[in-house]
Amino acid sequence: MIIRFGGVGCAAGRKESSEKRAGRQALASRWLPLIEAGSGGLLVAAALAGAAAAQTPVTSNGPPQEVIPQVGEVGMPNFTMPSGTTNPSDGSGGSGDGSGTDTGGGDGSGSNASGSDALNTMLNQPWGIQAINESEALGINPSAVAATCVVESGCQNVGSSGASSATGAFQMMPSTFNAMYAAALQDDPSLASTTTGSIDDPASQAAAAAEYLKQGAQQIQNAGVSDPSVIDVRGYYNFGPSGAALATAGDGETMAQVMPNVSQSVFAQNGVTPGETVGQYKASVAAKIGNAASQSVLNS
Amino acid sequence: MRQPFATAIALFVMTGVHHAEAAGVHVVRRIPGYTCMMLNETPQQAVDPRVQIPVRAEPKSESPPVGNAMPVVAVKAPLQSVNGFYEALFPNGRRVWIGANRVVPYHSLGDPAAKCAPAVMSNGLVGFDYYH
Repeated sequence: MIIRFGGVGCAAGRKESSEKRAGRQALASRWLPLIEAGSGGLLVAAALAGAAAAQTPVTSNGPPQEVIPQVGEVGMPNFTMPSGTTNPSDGSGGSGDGSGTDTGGGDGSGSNASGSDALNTMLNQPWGIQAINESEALGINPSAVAATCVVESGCQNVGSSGASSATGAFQMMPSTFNAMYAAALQDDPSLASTTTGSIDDPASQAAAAAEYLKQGAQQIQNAGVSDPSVIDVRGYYNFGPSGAALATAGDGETMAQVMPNVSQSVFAQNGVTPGETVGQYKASVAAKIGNAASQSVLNS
Repeated sequence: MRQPFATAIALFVMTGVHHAEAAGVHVVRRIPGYTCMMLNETPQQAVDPRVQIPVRAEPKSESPPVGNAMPVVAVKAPLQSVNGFYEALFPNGRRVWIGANRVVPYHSLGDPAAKCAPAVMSNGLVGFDYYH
């Protein structure tokens, strides 16, 4: 990356140098015969003075070329698409080869799901923009909703996996979906005209998921965490009210200790072992979510 | 040459310690006079978002809820019921009241040997120190 960045800069640098070099060569073509012919310092000095008076200043045509880096530097924050905007890189009309100018792979984390990546992933779905609009109508950061579907299904409208009855892009249980969709409808009655209310409808699931995240964030907020992040609320999404405890737990405690009423089967359904520490759980989730993990869930 | 090298090593070690301390939330000290209780719920209720147990500002059923209880609750010890409520500490440090029949002594389904003590955490919130 540094090499590519340097390469861009060097290319511009070469152009500037060639202009200077041309000037130097023009001067040298005038001076050199005199210097070579002269046998004394006085002659050389006189020749130089004459040449200096005769030379024409070399000016560049306009201001110096501005070097614009094409590749993000290591450690620079990733770009996060402002909410409510359309995705300029969804690739729907492009070649779809995915090479583009993606900065993935440069952060060293091995994650493809930074905040903007999560939004892009969701926006690549036909229901993505609708999900963003629903999130904002419910007061939820769209990146939080996008991160949720990225972790749950890669934002694919998939069926149930394993013994769980959770289904869809947000892998919601039917009981949770029904309760959260009803609550979302209360918060935003316009959903009735834009969604079907079926658990098989990803846009309906997005609204229910946004409502679920909202309730989790508010519970954690009431417990004293002033601005719950995506990673704080993730536990609530996985484990319901029991998971709220993860937001205030020490990183060294185990999942079974912090959520004493959660059964082994529920841990297994969520791909978590009871002996896993809270810190390990958060790190694992953060690796999947990318930098959206630290973003606020609630829009201010 | 030796002194700058030693200084660099010392700075490296100090920086490492600083990062180790800063990483993650951890227990600062236990809170005397309080004990760990947990919500009296089935495993199904524990993960059901429709099941919320309120905590109240006063030991009265008509007192407005000030929030929902977390799975583990720091209850004032020794236990003393007032109008069917136990005094408790909310994670933000506020004194609240929770229905006495809504909590039971702490025990973990996934780690039966685990014990618990209310504690102040490094983020300033009331949390818990779990141990065996």
